Amino acid sequence: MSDERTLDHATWGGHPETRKRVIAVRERLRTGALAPSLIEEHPRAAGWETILAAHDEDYLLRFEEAALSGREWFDHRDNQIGEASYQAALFAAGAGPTAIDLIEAGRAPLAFCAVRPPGHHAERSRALGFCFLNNAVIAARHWQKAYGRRRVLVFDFDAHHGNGIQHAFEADPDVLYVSLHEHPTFSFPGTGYAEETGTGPGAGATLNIPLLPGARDTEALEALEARIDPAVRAFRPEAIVIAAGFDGHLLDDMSGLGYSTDLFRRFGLAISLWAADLAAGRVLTILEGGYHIDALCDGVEQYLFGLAGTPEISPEGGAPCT
Amino acid sequence: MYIAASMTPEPLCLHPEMSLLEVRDYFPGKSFRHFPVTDAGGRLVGMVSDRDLRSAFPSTVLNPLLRLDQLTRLAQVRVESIMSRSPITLPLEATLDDALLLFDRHNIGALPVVDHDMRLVGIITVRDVLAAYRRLFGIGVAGSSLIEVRDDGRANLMSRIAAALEGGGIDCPRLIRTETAPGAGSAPGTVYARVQTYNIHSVHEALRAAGLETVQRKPELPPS
Repeated sequence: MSDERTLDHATWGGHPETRKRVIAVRERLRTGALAPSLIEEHPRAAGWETILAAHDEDYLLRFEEAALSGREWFDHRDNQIGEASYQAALFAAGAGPTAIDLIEAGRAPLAFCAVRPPGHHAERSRALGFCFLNNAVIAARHWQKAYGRRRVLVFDFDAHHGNGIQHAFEADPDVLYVSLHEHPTFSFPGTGYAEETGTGPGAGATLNIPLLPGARDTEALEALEARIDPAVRAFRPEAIVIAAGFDGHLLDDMSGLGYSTDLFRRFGLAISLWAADLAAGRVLTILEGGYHIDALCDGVEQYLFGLAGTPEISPEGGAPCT
Repeated sequence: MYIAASMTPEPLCLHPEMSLLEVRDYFPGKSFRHFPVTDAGGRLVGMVSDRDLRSAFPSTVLNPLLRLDQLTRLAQVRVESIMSRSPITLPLEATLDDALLLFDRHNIGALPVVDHDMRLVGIITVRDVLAAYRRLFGIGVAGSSLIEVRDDGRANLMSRIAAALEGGGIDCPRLIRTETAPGAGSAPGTVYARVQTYNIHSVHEALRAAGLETVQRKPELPPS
């Protein structure tokens, strides 16, 4: 799932979240080893009602106004915007619901949304960390509302904690939010401590696993096998949304984690087993972070190999990124 | 940084002449741990802890008749006979650091806060101080990253860091400089900069451009 219009969201001055990221990922998927298995679809823009499941109306109006009036950033200097940013965010947010409709119609066994701006830091009424609309929250709510898939797992393996996703669901026992990220004492956004486990009726439906700076595949896989897998299986999701960030890679300087490319294949493989065993194959993946272009392309490709249930294939290289 | 903003003002308090049975009925369903005791003029005369109270009450495993007898006698026992006199206090002008040091030195959970005439104006607990420091340090609030800068031993380290960050338009609510550990010889110290941005790439660049060395937390690249 991708769309030209998400590329119109402008950033400049060495900003890490550039259109090049998605252009390169799309090119890799169009020309790489997975190309014969992929169909490219285009999202509709997310509708007002769909977005209101995750954001306040005032916030949306404020965001639209900021973009159309030529402001250079929104809520924080980190969140650079241009005139087309609001529209780009609508299409990025629409990718999840559009893909879910295809999955539910039996037209897409696996869906990957190569979109930007990313979403998992966006709060209900506040843009944060390059994120404006919370694409994963909007998708999870669409799955619940449009198809009655009540119990939804959101697994976020971006190197940074998805504060916006957590806050949207922390009081909701029907959504299990699992995040594996660099420890909040060191890393942006400074939330996602292990002791944050959900609130009120949602107590126990949030699982944060912070990894110390310098952590590699070993630590991540140990968390995946010993903590995350049992929690997901106990929760028994009916649908799975993945917030897929690739900035934990060793080459990506936006985190202190040292993941290899192959770890993303292992994530994909674990998720494919949850989808098959628990959720009748219903799994949707949305791109979050990942700022080193080559590591991002390699990570996405290997993740998709894993997700497609290819346990051993690790093709050499793949097409170069542009 | 003052305790006045973090303490509980006008706390519930006991009077010296109250009986222990009255005390029990005074706090139905509330779980207080520390009770200031004040005289008719509102001046602090003592403190009673929940432990003092518990040990004054008869054990629940006692023979019921004996227990009833002891409870009846508690109607005659007054607060002033079990309270600790001359408790440690904090003046209203005290800082959070004052409170932290007293808590640490005396291993107590709460301190009464008094004015110049020893009139009780508030109570502050270890929890209040923890919450205040948590707010001061912004712990758990979404929106920041931590950057480590190596102490290069040159002059004006802190102002150079601050200038580099301000020059880069980067909000930095706090800089913490660690002492070099005793016995560590000439091991370099570290300055921790809490920065209000996700764009840590630009933070590293701004610091490097100012000749400062940031501590990379990435593992080493494997040998190729």
